[in-house]
Amino acid sequence: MKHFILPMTLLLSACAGSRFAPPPAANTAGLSPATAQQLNRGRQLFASRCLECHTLPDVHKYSCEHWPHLVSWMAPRANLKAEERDAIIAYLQAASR
Amino acid sequence: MKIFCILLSILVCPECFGGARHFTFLYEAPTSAPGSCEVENYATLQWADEKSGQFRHELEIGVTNRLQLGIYVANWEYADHAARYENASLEAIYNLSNPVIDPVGISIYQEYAIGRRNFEWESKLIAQKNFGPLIVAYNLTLEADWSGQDLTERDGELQQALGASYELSPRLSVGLEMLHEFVFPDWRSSRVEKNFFVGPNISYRHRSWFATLTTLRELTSNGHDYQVRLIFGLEL
Repeated sequence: MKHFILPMTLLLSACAGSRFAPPPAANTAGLSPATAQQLNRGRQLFASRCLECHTLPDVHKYSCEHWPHLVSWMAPRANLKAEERDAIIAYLQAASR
Repeated sequence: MKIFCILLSILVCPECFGGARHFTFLYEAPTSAPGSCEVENYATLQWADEKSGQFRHELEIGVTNRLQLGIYVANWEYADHAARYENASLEAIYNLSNPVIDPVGISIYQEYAIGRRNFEWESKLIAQKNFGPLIVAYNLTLEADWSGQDLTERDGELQQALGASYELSPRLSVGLEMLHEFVFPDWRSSRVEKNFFVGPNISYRHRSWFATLTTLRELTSNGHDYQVRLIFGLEL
């Protein structure tokens, strides 16, 4: 049983971290500090505010062009301010590249 | 006056949503968005030696990104063909970590209930991990209540609950809940009663409302008691 639980935990943890709200670090190289800060804030908001209504989709599920429309459509329900919405969109566009 | 204005702005906010529930006997780690306001109605029906129903009506308010308050306007019971008001209560949930980007999402919960001859105190540790569409949650609860003429009758309860919910679509989730109770009448471990319940749940959400239903069957008694809980939530 021990041999089963450990690999499964590692596998599930890896899946959870890599696809559903990956850190934007790899995509922030070359960006200004303000933009990197916005991406980190966007990730935090994505992982907390969007989660209140539904589980998080794989960031690669939609393209860079689709994310702004989707987030703007759901922003009122999540009670997002304009700068919070923009931070989430910026993060999702960076992470989905 | 400032506090009144903040509360008023929260209450009249027309487009915010406090968040859908995937479980009925477990709480989840994420807290409601700041400024969100929602009504949640609980109905719990029990089939044991006698049939009974417990009902709660909650106003849930997101205060900050991490803090959520709940006001249970009325907790009441229907049994023996009569309704009986029990108490009103106040709860606070504070979120410490996120279930997606942190190793485990953790929140702490505190509730106080006050009735005419009744006082209850409930503390909870809420843990949750999201694996994409799969949510796994665990609650550890310690509850104490005092009742009677001079609040001399006292009981305690330690409870742990484990649940999993899989989101089939953004509107629909199905899952399983387990409830393990240790009831201590008069806080005496020698008289401890142990109950274990397990059963499926289903949650549906659409626009400004959600409904979550769980059916639990007791596996530790000869009578195989049942309880069914429905939570219906509506954004204000």
